[in-house]
Amino acid sequence: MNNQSLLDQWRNKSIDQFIPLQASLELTNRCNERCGHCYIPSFKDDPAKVLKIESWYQILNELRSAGTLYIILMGGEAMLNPHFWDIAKKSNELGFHTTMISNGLKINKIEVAEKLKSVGIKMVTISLYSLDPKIHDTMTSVKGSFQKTMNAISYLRKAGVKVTINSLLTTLNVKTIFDLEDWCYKNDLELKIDPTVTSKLNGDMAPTRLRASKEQLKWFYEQRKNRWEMFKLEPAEELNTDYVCNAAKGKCAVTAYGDLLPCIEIRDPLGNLVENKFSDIWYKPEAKKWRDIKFSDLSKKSASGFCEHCPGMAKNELGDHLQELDFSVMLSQVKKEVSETQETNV
Amino acid sequence: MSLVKTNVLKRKLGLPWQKIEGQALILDAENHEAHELNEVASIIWSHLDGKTQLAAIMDKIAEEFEVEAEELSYDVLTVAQNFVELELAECI
Ligand SMILES: C[S@@+](CC[C@H](N)C(=O)[O-])C[C@H]1O[C@@H](n2cnc3c(N)ncnc32)[C@H](O)[C@@H]1O
Ligand code: SF4
Repeated sequence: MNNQSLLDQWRNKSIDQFIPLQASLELTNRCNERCGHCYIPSFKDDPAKVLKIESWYQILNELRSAGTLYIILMGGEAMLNPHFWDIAKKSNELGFHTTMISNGLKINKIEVAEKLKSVGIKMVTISLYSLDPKIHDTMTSVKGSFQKTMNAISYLRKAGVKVTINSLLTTLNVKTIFDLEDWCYKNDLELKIDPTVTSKLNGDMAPTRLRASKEQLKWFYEQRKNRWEMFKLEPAEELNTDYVCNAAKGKCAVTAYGDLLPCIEIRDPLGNLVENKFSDIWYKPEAKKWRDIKFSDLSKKSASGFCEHCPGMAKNELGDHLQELDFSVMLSQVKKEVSETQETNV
Repeated sequence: MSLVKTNVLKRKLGLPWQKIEGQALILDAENHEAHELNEVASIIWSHLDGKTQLAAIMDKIAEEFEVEAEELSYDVLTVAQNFVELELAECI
């Protein structure tokens, strides 16, 4: 069996058995950027609630027993947690595959990148929005952040830490997105472009004003499929009995205060991991609400085979996790339309 | 080098692994490889803590599978040897 099918098999096993193979840890809400699109409602940590190092160790141990293999350190900016290095080191020692999502600003010299390597960080996903410094800096609201993020990428690669790139497609960077894609390709950097700007986690819609328009999205997918054979859009099988997403099954998330979430988008805590044992809250009946969402539960406004519904996002924006958002429906329709022109072209 | 029962092995630090339903998966990112172990190899692997002698691991497996430890000796040493050769574990 090749590696990918073995890993897929483990992923499926974790979904079937509700084993949180992947856990995202929000080590802090604090951040050194102020992205206009950011879903985090407040960049402050409540000192009364923020976890002590012992609590993070306890949580890591519990996740280990629960079957977690992949730990993703994030935030806010994970490196602003004063215990960041100890947490990363412990995660590695316990046998987790530990990675981080970061804006890179704290990786400001080669020694920091080398230290990340030495504590066992396997990969850093850097958020980069454009190769045009003005556009990137406008999106992060921090002048000079583009150069610092680029420096971080170079330090990490010099230190032998794998780097991948995350970018969010917005009205601000859509025009330059393919320059970024070309650059990533030339530099052998895997790039993920996310077309969905969510609201803030508390339902504040401010970030959604940056969502790309229908025309921009259509342009993006048209161009992409013409550029790359692998980005040809194909409808997925969406059986009524299939789960819509992986929340509270093969993945979970933990907030800076120790709340256990079904996934990073779903802000309904199953319980607090400082006060409760993981196993006592992960299997409680309330988790079923998130675990059992099937395609048959949705209104099916989305184009069939291209569903973009995210229950957490719908709950945050509309207060109803089953109601499909206009944006998600529109995105699914755009993808369907582009996939159909593909077929006609053939 | 061939191993003997009194050897103590330690999993290489920084090798991500996990055990689900008695089966272990090891991610060897540097070599772009993943190894799935069978049940017995998974037990051996999870005991390579740098403190437990291979003989004690044999006793544990013997107890679990209700066989004589002696009967397992060859298999356990061979599996352990494989871990060392694949550079997943080291003899300390
Ligand atoms: C919240 S950030 C935390 C890690 C780090 N501060 C960073 O920016 O990489 C994690 C990822 O979420 C993305 N993100 C932030 N706000 C978003 C939103 N409203 N919708 C979709 N993605 C968002 C960021 O671009 C980043 O790649
Ligand atoms: S997206 Fe990341 S870098 Fe930007 S403000 Fe949010 S947490 Fe900070």
